Amino acid sequence: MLKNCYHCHNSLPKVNIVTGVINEVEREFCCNGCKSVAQLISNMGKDYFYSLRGNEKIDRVTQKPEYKNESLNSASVYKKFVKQNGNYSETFIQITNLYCSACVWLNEKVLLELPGVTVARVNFSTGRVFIVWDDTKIKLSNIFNRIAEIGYEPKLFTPSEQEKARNSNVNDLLLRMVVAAFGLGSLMAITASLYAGFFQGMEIGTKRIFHLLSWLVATPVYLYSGMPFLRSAFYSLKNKTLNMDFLLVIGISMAYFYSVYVTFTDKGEVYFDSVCMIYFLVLGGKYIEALARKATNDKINSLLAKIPESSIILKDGEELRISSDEIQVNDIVLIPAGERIPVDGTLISDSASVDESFLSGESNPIRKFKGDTIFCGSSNFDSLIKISCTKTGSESKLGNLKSIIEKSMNEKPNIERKTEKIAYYFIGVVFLISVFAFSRTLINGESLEAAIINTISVLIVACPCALGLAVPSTLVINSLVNARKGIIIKNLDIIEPLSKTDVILLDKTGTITEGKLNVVSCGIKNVPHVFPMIYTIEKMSNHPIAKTLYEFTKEFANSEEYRILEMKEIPGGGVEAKLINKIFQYSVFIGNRNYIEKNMKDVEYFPNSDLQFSGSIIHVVINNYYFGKFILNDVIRDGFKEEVKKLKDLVKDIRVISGDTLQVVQDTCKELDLMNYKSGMKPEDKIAVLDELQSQGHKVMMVGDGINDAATLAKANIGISHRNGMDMSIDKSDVILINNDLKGIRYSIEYSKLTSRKITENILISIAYNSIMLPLAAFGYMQPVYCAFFMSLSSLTVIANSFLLKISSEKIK
Amino acid sequence: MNAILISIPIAFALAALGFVTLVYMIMKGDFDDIESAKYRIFFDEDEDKK
Repeated sequence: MLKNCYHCHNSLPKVNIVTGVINEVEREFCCNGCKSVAQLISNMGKDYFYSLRGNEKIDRVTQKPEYKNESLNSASVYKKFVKQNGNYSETFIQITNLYCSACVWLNEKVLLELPGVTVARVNFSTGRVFIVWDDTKIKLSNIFNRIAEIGYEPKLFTPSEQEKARNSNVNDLLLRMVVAAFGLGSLMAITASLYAGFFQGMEIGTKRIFHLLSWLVATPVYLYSGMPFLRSAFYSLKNKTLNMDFLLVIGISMAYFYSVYVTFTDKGEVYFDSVCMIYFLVLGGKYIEALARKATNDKINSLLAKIPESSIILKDGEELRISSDEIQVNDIVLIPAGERIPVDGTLISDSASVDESFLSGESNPIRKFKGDTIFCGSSNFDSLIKISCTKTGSESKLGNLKSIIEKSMNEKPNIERKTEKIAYYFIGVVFLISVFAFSRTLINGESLEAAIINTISVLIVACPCALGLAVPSTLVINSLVNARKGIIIKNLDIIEPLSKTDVILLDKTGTITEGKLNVVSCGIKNVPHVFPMIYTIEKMSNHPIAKTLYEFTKEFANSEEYRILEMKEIPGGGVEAKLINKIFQYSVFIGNRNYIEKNMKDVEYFPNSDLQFSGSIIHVVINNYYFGKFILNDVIRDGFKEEVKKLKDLVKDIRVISGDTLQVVQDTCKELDLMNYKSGMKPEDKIAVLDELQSQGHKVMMVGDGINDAATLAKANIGISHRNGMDMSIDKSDVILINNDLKGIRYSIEYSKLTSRKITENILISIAYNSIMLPLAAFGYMQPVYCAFFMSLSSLTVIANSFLLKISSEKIK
Repeated sequence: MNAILISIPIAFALAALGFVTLVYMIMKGDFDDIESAKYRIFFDEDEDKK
């Protein structure tokens, strides 16, 4: 049975499992980070966290950054992020890895136990903690350090103007919807009496009171709830681009003003309830849509919270710590080792090793040299570096990415634009029919009032609310069900091609595999002596391979003590060091075959070839004597093997196209039971594969994460990237898997199939209603009251049908 | 008829009260976070244990 880490619940590594005693019971951990966090949680008496967490997986505790006093407690940070409220300070802290109720509980409990903290309230949907503290008792850096100690990643946060506007828009819609709901609720009671009166008779005085009350209730709904539509209809008329809001307003205004006419003349029936009901339904749809947009935006914001709060700049030879958003173009910015880069810039230092995993998805650091571009949001692995700022804020690559996502989320999908076009022509037809109904009634010798009633009947029954709701209501539900699974459909136009996907192309590194190195095999001689040497050397390096080996050898840290006399990191080669213990001096090299073959030709017992092994092979040479090797490999993501089986039932073909070596790709595909794979692929090769498939008429989905996949993602019928693959790949993809869960590939295809079906059904329902009711109304067979009833019924049918999508989607596991 | 004249204003007053309360709650920000509440029900259980 597969075992999981006691703390994070991710699967345990095959080798080097860490154990520790928690509450007198021996537990297993995936790494020492998880063990130390679990011990701390237990020491604080917060073991209830593990009961609450259940089987939910949280992030592995890979690193525990220390938040320095000068960085967080500086005046510039306080000025920007902290609000003073009497004797207390308050701020928002964004935590980027909150996954479940246990995370909410733990953070709130632990923070509230800090002396001086009076309020700690976590908002799960945004991942933000609102915190109030007494600055004389505790500093912001202490709060940050406590959050980091329990395994979470805190960032300071200030809502942008855009975000504030988005929140106020959601509240505004809610308020307008509530007004319509109250109006509708009140009118239902009155209308029930009026309906009874219509069939059984009612005293004219009573009827008049009911009419007046209805008018009183419906007027604020018509004016306040309907204001966004009235405004939109006005501008659509002004710009001569009639839209759905115009039709909605025409229909509702006819019903409203006719009802006002009836109220004061006692001739006929009122339709104030229709006014409230239609506004309530439409606003309800818009509110749900706004909530979904806000939720996805919050998730994206939490992922993009990569810029440090404050930074050091060099001004007139002096180091100044300022808020990161005060950095200007051409400023010289100093970035200490381990910190994130706050702006786009040009490297001034001779060289730097930076982690651009948010750009490329590759976890290996990239070596940059003087004059190279360094991107905002990436991390500096080396010692302190200097950069000259070239772009700040929204101009930077990270800022640009954010605006691309926001823009795409506000675009209307093609299918919605098409129904609006249909509605545009529909308006003309309806006007012709209403003129026909009016003239026909008069020609037949009936009164002017009868002609007006017939015309209103036509306009009410023709109100294409159902047609207008057919696509957006389905898309809203689609967005909701997708968002619940961590899927963002960036471009809603792809719903249709997504449903027809028949070939999936998968990138390997970072997509199929975790993109993190693990030691899969260890063949080192004399472990008790050699491991402490490796531990001592790798502790000093920030390279991902060094980090993996450091974690792997950590258990032997104290078995023998070594001191480093000399150490040199060789980019692309490994690390060379001179160590000394109490008696002897050692010359140690940890690195790859290439370097050994080129520079250390006389190593004894060095094997001739590594070809039979798959993965990164790291050799250890001590005093020119070969001591063995580590094989590091990227592991296939949890559960992806089962997922591939399910995907095979959904599409005709799944292929892997990777830049890795044949052996590595072959091994991965063998494990996944995938027969079609190509290795050593450059971006142009990937495009060639895609072109060939598309020329054969296939609808191809590309799943990738790095810059090398960006072109294929853009060219594929559907491009899917995930959380780790940021910027370029997100820019070029249509679907983003925000939870990094590849099940999203299958879910997105299945949901799009359901959505396409529902859209077709909804359009047919609305057309069927209008085709039956319009002729009846035009020839005077329908009273406005029946028309309003059927018109509302058609909208309700469409909405109910859209909601069925949610039920159907829940069946997909 | 008298019953209607009494009950309708009462109903309207109650509805208005509910409406004002709701508007106050929206303004106060009670609807800003509608996700976390469902998780907090588990916290009470823990408090009870204490």
